[in-house]
Amino acid sequence: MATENTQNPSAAKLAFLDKIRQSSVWRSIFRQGYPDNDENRSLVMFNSFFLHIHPVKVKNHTIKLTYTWGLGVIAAFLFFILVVTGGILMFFYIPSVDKAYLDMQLLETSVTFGMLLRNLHRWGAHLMVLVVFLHMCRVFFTGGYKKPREFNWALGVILWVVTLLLSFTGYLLPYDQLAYWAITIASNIAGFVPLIGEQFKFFLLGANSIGQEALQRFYALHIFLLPFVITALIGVHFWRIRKDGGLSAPASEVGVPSADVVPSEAGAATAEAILPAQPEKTYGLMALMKRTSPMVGKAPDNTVFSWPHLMVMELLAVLGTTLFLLILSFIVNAPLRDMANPNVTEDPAKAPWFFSSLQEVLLHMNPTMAGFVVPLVVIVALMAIPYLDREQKNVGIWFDSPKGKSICLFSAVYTTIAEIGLVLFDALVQWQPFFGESELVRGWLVPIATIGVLMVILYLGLRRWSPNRREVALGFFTAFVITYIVLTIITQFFRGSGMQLMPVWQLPPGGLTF
Amino acid sequence: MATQNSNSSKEEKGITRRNFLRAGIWTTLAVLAVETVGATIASMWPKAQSSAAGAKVRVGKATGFPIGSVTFFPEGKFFLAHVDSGFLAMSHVCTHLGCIVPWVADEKSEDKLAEKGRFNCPCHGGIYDRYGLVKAGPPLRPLDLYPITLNGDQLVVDTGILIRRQVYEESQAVKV
Repeated sequence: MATENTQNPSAAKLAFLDKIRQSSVWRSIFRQGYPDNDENRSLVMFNSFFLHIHPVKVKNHTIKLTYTWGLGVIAAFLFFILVVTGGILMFFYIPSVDKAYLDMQLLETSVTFGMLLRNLHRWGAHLMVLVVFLHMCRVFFTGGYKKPREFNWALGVILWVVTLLLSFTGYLLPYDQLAYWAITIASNIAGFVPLIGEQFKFFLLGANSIGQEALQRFYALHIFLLPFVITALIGVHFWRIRKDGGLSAPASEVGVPSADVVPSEAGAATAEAILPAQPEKTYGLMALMKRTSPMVGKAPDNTVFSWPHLMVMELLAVLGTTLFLLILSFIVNAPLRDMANPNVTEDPAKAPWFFSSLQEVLLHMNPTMAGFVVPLVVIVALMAIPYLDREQKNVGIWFDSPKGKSICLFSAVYTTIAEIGLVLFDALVQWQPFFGESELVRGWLVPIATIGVLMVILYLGLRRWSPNRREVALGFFTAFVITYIVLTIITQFFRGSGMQLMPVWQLPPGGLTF
Repeated sequence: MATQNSNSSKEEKGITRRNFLRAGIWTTLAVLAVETVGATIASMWPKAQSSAAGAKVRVGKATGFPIGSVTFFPEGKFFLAHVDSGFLAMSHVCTHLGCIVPWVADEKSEDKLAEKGRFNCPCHGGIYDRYGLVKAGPPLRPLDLYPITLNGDQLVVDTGILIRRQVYEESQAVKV
């Protein structure tokens, strides 16, 4: 095939570049010519280590911007940026309580581009937390978790948690006041885990309070153990995308069962359109075995070549992310407060924004309930979604249907009102004395009952649409997302000194923790 | 019939070579896994602590602190409160999630000893009165205490011993 290309008539006028491209060295690295014909477009995916993660062809639907918004690619790319910038930061940082804060100051003042480097790492991390969450929302609202993608959804939920853990462990490393107190609160939450709480906290910190041991442990977790775990999980996550048949797409885009052809507007009903006389895809025969595969009874999908269609979209996503992050890092500096002081807690002491909702929950109920039960239930419930909702209809369609849209809108409005109402109620109404002194009642039963009643009301509200399981899931997932957003906004923008409610313009200096 | 017989006779003997080896392999793997995880955790478990030592702090004569006063001792990280029934030495760590609770002298008092003054936790809005009792917010128990002893007319606080309490009792305060 290589010789075929070189004997092209236009090869007569060989430019210098072409000479290089035909050298035996070049040929030993790139085994095919430039992918400007279908054969080379296939070979480039087979032969390149860096591209072989992609299929040769992708569904037309997959590269639609408004379907994925490129969020998965962007999240993975942000992780790559974080590995690179994190690696460079390691050259300038010693994880010691005496040196860490000083190193941060030196990085900002005495290292060329040090501030920019720090900003890229800090804002890249925040952006990754945000994008991973948005990616989860995208997959949920388009029904991308449905069979056969249940397990990959569960993996994705774990990836979200590991992303948060990475952010959390990195948060301590600057060893300023912001870091010290955020981690103090979080490690004390760990102390409220039932039965093993105190030991767990002691193990996490390596001491009874944050100090050299904790800093060193968080450093090891942050630069080695957690990145190792997340890299492995990302690998499996990607691999499963391919094995589960690529990205989800509406049934009209996926190869329709040839035995039971449903006519569609696209005119895909004609036998020729489904099984073209000259198929664009060719298959190599590896081995024969007796089993069914996902491809049984299906015609080829409505696809395009990954090169150039998918490549261009990915390049744009990567470029856009780089530009956005660079500009953000030029404009906004990462915060560095006073050096960690174990004797003075900043007022207010707020968690980073992605844990703000959790901090808000902590204000209203028993710490074991808020810091352990609630997050555990949320994670388990998220992972269980695809095993509870087994509807196969409307996969690949945003919000399922117009009915689904109404349900999401209803749930969003209801949850916003309910959350704001609850927070105001707890702040303005002295309800605690009414329930006496018992922590079991005030910290556990009342919050559980309140959440339960609110969820029942939500469900009764959804009954109006006589929803199926998918639509109930839509309603409750929307409630979860809106709760997360509303509580984050309340804690970040409307809580000031002593975590008391106050309008955003009255916040004390340092009231925002981005 | 023959195979059936041989099967049942094997069962009577209890264990085949195959089963024995299989059990052995799995047991070895399980023991290795438990050892690896256990040893890793054990190695990470701190044996010696650097900051546990608590000194005895001599705070001075009782007459120096009028009833209703709350004084902070930075070197011992505790508050000395003079309440109606005596002296309390309270840790400055919030019993909720470990933030440092400052004494706010000009906020409305939550007890009857004075008009103003209370502890405000900056993290989750916990409020304590002069006795260290929770008056608002999520903390589950009053501020922890350090024992006070009298050395002549001098008050001495032992910061090596932390006393957890659920309620306030008069016996907690040291009379002078």
